[in-house]
Amino acid sequence: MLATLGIAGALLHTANHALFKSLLFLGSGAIGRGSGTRDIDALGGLARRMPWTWGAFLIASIAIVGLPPLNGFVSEWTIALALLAGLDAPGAVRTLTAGLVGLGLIGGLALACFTKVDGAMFLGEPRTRAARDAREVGALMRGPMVALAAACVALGLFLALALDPALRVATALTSSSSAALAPALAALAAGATRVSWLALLFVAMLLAAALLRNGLLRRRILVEETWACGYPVTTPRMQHTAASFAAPLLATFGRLAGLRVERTARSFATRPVDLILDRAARPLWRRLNDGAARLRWMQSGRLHEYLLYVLATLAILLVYLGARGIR
Amino acid sequence: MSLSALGALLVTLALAPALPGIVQRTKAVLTGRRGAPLLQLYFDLWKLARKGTVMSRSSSPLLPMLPAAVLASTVAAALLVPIAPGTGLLSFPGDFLAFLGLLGLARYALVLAAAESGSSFEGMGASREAMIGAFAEPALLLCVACLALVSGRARCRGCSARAWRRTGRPTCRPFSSSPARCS
Repeated sequence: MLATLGIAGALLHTANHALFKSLLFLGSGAIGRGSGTRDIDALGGLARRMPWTWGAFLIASIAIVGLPPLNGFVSEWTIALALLAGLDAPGAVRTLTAGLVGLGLIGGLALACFTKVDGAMFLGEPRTRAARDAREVGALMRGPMVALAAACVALGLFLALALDPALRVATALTSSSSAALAPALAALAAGATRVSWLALLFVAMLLAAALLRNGLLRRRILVEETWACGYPVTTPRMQHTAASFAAPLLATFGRLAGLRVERTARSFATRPVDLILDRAARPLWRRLNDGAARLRWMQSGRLHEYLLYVLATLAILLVYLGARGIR
Repeated sequence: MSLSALGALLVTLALAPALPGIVQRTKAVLTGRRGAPLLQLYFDLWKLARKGTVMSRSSSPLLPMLPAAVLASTVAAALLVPIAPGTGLLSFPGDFLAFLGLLGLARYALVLAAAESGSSFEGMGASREAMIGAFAEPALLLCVACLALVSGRARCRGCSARAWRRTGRPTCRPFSSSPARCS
């Protein structure tokens, strides 16, 4: 049961990642194309300029965080159920605790990450001219994004579409007898139907609440400048930057992630440090390089000296072997 | 979906604004102040309901949808909670994950709404919300999972005070329809 569910969840998760991660990549491409810059800190306010890209990107971000009613939640739910199904095994409570804490922390951090990206790139005021002049991309770039976003929504609302094939493959892979699994699979299918209902109910309530608030009970809506403590003009420079948004979390996790903070009286910026490349691979290589440079004097380019080295090495080896006694 | 469960949901929704009032009042009494009225949040909601809306010039057409998303996801989460004895309107294996996920969705909408304003104050609030969420989520998930496991079934419906009285090693049969027996 554990194996079947786990494999099904993993397969489903892979398929879901293929959908929403591709969508995020396409979205980044569209943003780069539409605004001409790839710097998150130079963007802002793209939601009104690139509404199609924004909608697709938002769906992908919510899906990748693993929130209902989208497809990311479905696979996380299946994996967590596999974790729970294996609880009878010895030592499983420890695994379950670690797994659940991990799942929760990943979810929370992913939420912080993607709200940051969404907020910094699409919402608020454009931070540079590139963002202000951004244009929506053409239909050829919008089409695939809309298709992938629709797939994310469809697999989130109608679970059986992807869950059933994944379970069938997992059952075949684990070569477990279907008779033993049948009751559990039936319970899972019933659960999936309920999740579907919950997701559909959520969408219905969302639309109803939005309609009620913005259509039927519509009151006077004023559109005004954001209140900035009485300053006459609000500027993009007053906005919270992506670095500032992440600062409280980075104060906790920054050391683990490897981060350089640049703080002056007028600015605050953080730069990521690649822990593997900058802290491990490059220093190791530098040390190797320094050691090799110290032996540089041996490399004279004269052939007879090299022959001498060979002879000397041979002599040393012979002396060494002679001292140990050859048998 | 029973009628009593639906009634319990409505009562919960009606009583929810009283809870922060009680918390605030308790805090005030404990620190020797008089504090705000118990029903302050109802007064605030009534006052806000009669006011018009002011939206920022920086905001996108998504902004009016966001409060609706917060409300819808919170109500959807409430559907999973067993309010009346032994009932939640919807119950399925692992529904506590959906509960937390829906609350996470509400937080997502809240943070986006803050970013819509393009102001630093809202940005600070959103940043704090995201940070506290990242720490609170594992703790909350673990608590809810413990309740669900002690009750013997991995769903919210079994979570109740009665669950605590059972002893023994937690056993979990997420797919069984009857609560597991713990010896």
